[in-house]
Amino acid sequence: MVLYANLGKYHPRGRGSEPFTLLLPRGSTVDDLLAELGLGRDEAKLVFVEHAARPGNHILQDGRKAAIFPPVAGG
Amino acid sequence: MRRVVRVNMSEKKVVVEPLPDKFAGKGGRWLTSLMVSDEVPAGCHPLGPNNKVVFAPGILTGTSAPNSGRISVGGKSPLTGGIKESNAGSPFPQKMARMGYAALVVEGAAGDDSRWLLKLDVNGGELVPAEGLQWKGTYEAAAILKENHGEKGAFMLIGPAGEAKMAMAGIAFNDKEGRPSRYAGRGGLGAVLGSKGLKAIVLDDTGAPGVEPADQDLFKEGREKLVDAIQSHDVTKKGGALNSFGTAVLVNILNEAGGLPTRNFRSGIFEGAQQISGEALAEAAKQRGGAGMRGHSCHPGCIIACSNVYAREDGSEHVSCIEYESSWALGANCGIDNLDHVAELIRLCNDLGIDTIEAGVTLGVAMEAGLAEFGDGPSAIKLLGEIGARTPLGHLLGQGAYFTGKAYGVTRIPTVKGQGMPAYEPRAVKGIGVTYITSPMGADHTAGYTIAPEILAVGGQQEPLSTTEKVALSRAFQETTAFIDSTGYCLFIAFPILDIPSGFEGVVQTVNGMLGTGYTGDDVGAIGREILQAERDFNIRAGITAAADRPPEFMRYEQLPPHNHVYDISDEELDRFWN
Repeated sequence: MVLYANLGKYHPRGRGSEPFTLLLPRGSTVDDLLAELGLGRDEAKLVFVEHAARPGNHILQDGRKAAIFPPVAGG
Repeated sequence: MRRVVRVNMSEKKVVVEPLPDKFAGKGGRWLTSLMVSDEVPAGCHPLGPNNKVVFAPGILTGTSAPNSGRISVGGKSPLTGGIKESNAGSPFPQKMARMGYAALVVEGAAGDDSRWLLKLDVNGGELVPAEGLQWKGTYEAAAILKENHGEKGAFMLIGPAGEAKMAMAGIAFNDKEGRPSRYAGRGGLGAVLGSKGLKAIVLDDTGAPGVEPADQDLFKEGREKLVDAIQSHDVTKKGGALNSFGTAVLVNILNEAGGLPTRNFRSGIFEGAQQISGEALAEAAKQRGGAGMRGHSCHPGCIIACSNVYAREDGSEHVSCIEYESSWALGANCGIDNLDHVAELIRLCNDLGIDTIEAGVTLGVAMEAGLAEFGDGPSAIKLLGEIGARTPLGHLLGQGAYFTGKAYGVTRIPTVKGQGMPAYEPRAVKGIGVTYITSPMGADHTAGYTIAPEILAVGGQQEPLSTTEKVALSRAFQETTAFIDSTGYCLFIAFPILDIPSGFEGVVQTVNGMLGTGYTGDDVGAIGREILQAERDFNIRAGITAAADRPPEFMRYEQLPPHNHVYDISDEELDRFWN
């Protein structure tokens, strides 16, 4: 797991955007992951798993990397 | 009465004329592209006396509309051989507009090795020898201008690369604190000014009449709507992503999407992305303290404040600003993950007066050619030193990525129409590839920023790897952008107005309030089309035809990790853009 930008404040050990591991029951979805972290969709706008943005019902596979972003933009 | 300043470098004469009626109500890119189309012979040598450089503040620049301090600079590009519009945010155009100047046209050429300084006030201008400024880096030149012309003056400068007529040379404007750090960087217009012998412009706005909207009430109504949209949208509000982390907040998301061009476009993932990201910048500002800051505005009236100041370990100022594009070009694209090295490369670019994107893409190609190892920051710094020292190698690199690649027999050259690609991989984000390939500017992300829906879920959501409807998507973005580039608004207002309809209404109302016009939302697209067509027609006359609307060939056959896609929007589909 990685929490980017101002979501870093939700890091379970207060370490910002440092990666960490999260254990979830088999068959958990992106929405389950956000619920586990206490994150609403207003804050967690985009969840990338294996280099693609995934919808809430996407089922997570064992050992995959997930990255969560708040609304971001730039140029 | 809005006026045009004509600066004839051949005769050293400055004349102020009324703005011709056909250009009334136009500003920014609309004005520069129409004036260049009208006055510059498309077949001219970009560095010869028949090319011109046109400066134009936007329609709303100088008013109290938020984020409206942009200036467009136009001319024939020595990098692409086509028309160019490059823009920057600075107090300079705000003062210029308030002085009543709609445009400033630099024409002719000094014809010898002399350098000139243009002093402009409300009564007109005067060319004087640019004593002590020749070959000076922009930081030292800015300090000299400040000493001679006062703390409050706004200025434009070119660096030594522009004086040496290098095609990656940009044009620097002052920021609020007088740094020469706000760049109309792309396309080599700094070299065009160098070819004419114009080193700098200083403004004295004493007695400036200001800018008055034709319909104050409508203007104010529109302004409030736009302010509300900017202040309520998650990415542009105070404490939002842009304000807190700067544009480099994009490094990690593009990397996670597999679209961050790495080591000269060999991969879409950079293992050192976190170290050069907006999050790393914010952490450095916190840890190092001192001069480091986030939430810096490039001009008064900017309420997004996405700029920053990066400090050295001892807290002293190193450089402003570390943008996403710069951090990517001189970081990931060169395999460099050390933010202090990236900061020094950006400082050098600013001092030499070169475009950070073209510089980074050129260094990537140079590394490909074996001039340095990927990841070797100190060697990259030495290569930029060659440009500063104007060695034969420096002159070669200074002509940009395409020229450098050709000189060394490199086939992986990520350019379109000779201009280096910015920080989004077309093979991983197909719509932005259409923009790079079809824009009259050459590879330019700002020309039609489809990244908003393709990666950021702003203005809807589109699958980045899909090719479906991407030509139409890019077309819509390019038209709207050409309009925004004409208003003087920062392109980042696009994020809130894509999502918040009243913000878009506010933009149209401020323009109508300013000009006394009755434009509708539909006219935005129509004006954009008029601008794009004028630019396209110039390019056709210059010999840049549909045959140039193609991706670099290697992107057709080299699969890009991690998605392992090639660029698969066909030539026929790309040609639909202009047909």
